[in-house]
Amino acid sequence: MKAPDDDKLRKANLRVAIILGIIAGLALLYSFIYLPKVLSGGVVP
Amino acid sequence: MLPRRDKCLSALFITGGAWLFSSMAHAAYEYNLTPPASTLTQEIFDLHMLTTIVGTIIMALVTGMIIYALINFRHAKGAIPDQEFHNGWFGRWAWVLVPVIVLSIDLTIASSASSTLNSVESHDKADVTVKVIGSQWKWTYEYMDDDIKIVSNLKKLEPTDPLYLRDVDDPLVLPTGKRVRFLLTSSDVLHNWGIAEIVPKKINIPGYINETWTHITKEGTYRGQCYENCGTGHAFMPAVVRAVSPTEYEQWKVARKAQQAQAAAEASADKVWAKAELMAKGEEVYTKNCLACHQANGQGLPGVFPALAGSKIANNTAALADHIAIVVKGKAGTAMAAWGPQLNDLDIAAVVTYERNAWGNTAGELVQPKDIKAAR
Amino acid sequence: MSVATTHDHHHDHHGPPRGWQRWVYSTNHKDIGTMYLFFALFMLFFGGAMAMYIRAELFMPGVQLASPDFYNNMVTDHALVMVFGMVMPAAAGMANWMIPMMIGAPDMALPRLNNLSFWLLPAAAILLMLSIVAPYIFPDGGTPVNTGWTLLPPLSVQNGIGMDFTIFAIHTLGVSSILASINIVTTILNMRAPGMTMMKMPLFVWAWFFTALLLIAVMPVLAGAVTMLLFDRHFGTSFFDAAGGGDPILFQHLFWFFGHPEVYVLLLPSIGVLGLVIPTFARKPLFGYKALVYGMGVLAALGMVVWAHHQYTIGMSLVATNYFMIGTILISIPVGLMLMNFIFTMWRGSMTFETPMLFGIAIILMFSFAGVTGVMLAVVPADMQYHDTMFVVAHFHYALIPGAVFGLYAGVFYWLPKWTGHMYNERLGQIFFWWTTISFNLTFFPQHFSGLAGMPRRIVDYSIQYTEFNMISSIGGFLFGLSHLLFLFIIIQTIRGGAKAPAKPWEGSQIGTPGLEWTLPSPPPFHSFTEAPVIK
Repeated sequence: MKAPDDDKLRKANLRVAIILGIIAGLALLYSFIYLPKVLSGGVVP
Repeated sequence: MLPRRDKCLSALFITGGAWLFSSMAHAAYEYNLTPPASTLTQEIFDLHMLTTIVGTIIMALVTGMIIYALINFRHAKGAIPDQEFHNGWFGRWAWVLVPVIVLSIDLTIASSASSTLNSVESHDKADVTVKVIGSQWKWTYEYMDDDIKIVSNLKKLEPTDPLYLRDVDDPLVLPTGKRVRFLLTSSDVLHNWGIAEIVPKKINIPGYINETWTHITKEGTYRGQCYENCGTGHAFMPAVVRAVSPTEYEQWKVARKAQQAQAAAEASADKVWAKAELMAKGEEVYTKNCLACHQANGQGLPGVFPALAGSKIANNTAALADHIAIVVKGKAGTAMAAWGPQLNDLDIAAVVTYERNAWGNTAGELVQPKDIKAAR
Repeated sequence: MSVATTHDHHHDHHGPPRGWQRWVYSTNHKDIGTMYLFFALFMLFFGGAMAMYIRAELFMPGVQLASPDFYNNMVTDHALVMVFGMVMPAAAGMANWMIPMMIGAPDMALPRLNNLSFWLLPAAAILLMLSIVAPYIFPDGGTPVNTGWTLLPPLSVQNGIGMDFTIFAIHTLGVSSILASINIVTTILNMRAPGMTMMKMPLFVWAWFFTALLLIAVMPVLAGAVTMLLFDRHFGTSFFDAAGGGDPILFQHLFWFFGHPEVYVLLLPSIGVLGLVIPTFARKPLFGYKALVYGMGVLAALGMVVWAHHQYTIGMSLVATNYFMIGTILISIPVGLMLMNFIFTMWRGSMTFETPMLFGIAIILMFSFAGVTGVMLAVVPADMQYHDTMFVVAHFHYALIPGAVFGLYAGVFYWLPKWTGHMYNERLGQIFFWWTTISFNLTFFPQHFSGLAGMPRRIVDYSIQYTEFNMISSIGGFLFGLSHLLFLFIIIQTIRGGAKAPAKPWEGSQIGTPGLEWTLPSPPPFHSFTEAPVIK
């Protein structure tokens, strides 16, 4: 049976949550990908 | 369930649905897109009508299907649900059929949209080029081929006037039958110079230049306004274009240049101005350029725009140089713009004089154009 | 399926703690769901009050009630409150309540994280409220947040201290929804009862699965964008300032990279609710379940790559503009497929018209209309005429009020018997439906016309040619606002009593929707599915 305090399940849950957290972190980085381009002034016509 | 209620229900749906798309297809003047007055906006208008008609047909079909279902597949009428409907041939192939139909509609729209887009983005040689500069909260027009500059401010009217928020003191004048190119930019925040009759919108971005064009076919006065939220005065910066025949346009240009030359000569002459002259001129300049923020009574808006009435700088003779510096160079980190490049020496001298003498301010000096020239 | 279905709280581990501790320390998905829903209800009235002010100000030409800055501050916060404070928490509340019950899980996968993601919300709401008052209580508070919810620089850089509070509120809201999304995806992937395969899950669960993935992917981008804005405002960077080598348009790209998927974040849960409501009251299985699931996946994927259609007028290259236009028009394919599948679900069914079904039918009709105006707006040259007019306002209110809010109303009426154990008053429910639907159309339909005639959005004052449309709109708006008092009354009445709801309150529930929620009594016990049910 599955219960919330089942150790194996808890580990599995944590693993999925961490992977999703990393995806969120990558998404945050995405927004900063423009950074070098912007700071180098490469976008000014 | 109650049959009466269901009848009532479908009747309401029919009327509601009919109202929904009949009013959409209503081609009456004020219900549709602004009637075009240029070749380009005419093309866009036709595109708009195409999508509207396609959309109306789709809505009619969807509404028809729903009404049919509501009438025929009711529990109250003893309808037996067909539990295998989704397993029949239609259920197996609907996921192909529906997208194919939708895709073909999409491609029809996209292909004609794409060709109109090419016209919008064409960069053919223009006869007249106008730089449109948005700033909080007025429009400045510079004719790139002629040395003409127009500053266009809201004309204050009562909220009952037909032209309330639709009229300016000094409209842009353009010739009909010529290709006019607009270079759009801004001096502070985003603006959007939009006049639906003659020009598709592009936004005015500070530090960037956008391009759009028109070829006006009908003489007349066309009114639009700022379409990109630019802060407090966003609702109060109309854009007006007066389209005239090419000959009238040439005459207007000559007259305008003469007028500008006269004003410039007046400003640079070493004349010493009397207080009454400076105050009158100053009030005019103030109303045109400063009033939007600092208000008619000089009180500003508390917490947003500082008051000039009773301000330290405007009441202290020692601070005259600071006062002139702020007007000429602006104040960093605030909405206060540098007026040096926008106004001539006489205008700045007059407005500073006005600010130091109006609303009970006591500094009382007269500032002359040569003082400004020295401060630049 | 035999499950523990007694009301007895002493039966398993323990019942709910008493008093405030039950709520503040709660890790129970049902209690947290309830808190989400009440929070959303409160924010509905908060954001609604702002809308009432906006409609009152626009009732006739002239600036009557407050300053232009206050007006635009209300426009900004109406959007932020409704999007982040109302629709998303309400949908998250339903997810909390229903997803574990539908897939046969005892609770969410990460119950303590669940508690955190809810309790961040009131904090964010307080920050948002402070952003409204801060410009007035701080000396030199600066301009109120008058940018609209897009917070576009350079205007947002000019704003006063209110903008900083708004930025922090968005950070808090973002963390909250990312955590909630992680929790939901983990629950769906790991906590399904034996036999509940992915392709057996009710459509609502699938809808939330895609919603949560979207949120995880795009919410951080918004957080990054507003962080850069904060840096530009206070630490001398110039990400968005052309004078310093930056680009004001960069913010728009970042914002809409978040903002467009956000639209689907708001819509998908309601599509999921529709996927349960329509089969229930048509008494036959959902038509094209697989197509709907894949359709939602395609919609979510397409939604992430068409963001620049919000900014056609910024002057992109011809190639980019064409790409974004065609991509946007293609969105009509999955959306059309979904709406058609709902109509085909009604086809040859046996329909009754209880309140959730009425909302369901109205959504199909009005959301199709929003789709049609959406295609009109997707066409670039025409959009250059519609851009930032009331036509856009009318379009997205047609998309979001039927598409998201009415879907939530349908969900509330559909599940109220399950949540409270009482049937709601059907007659009042139907009055509420007709009242909202008619007044909603009265409010927003005229805005198409004023928009086509050229009335810009986010203006405090307009010229007199738009007066009639705005008056009709305002009257409709007041009626629409007023109808929600009836909504509140129905909810309170249902919580306090009413006819006893059976475990399956709807005759057609569970036909074609293999969720397990109907196997539990109404209301379900505090701890459900402590023994995992097995699906054959």
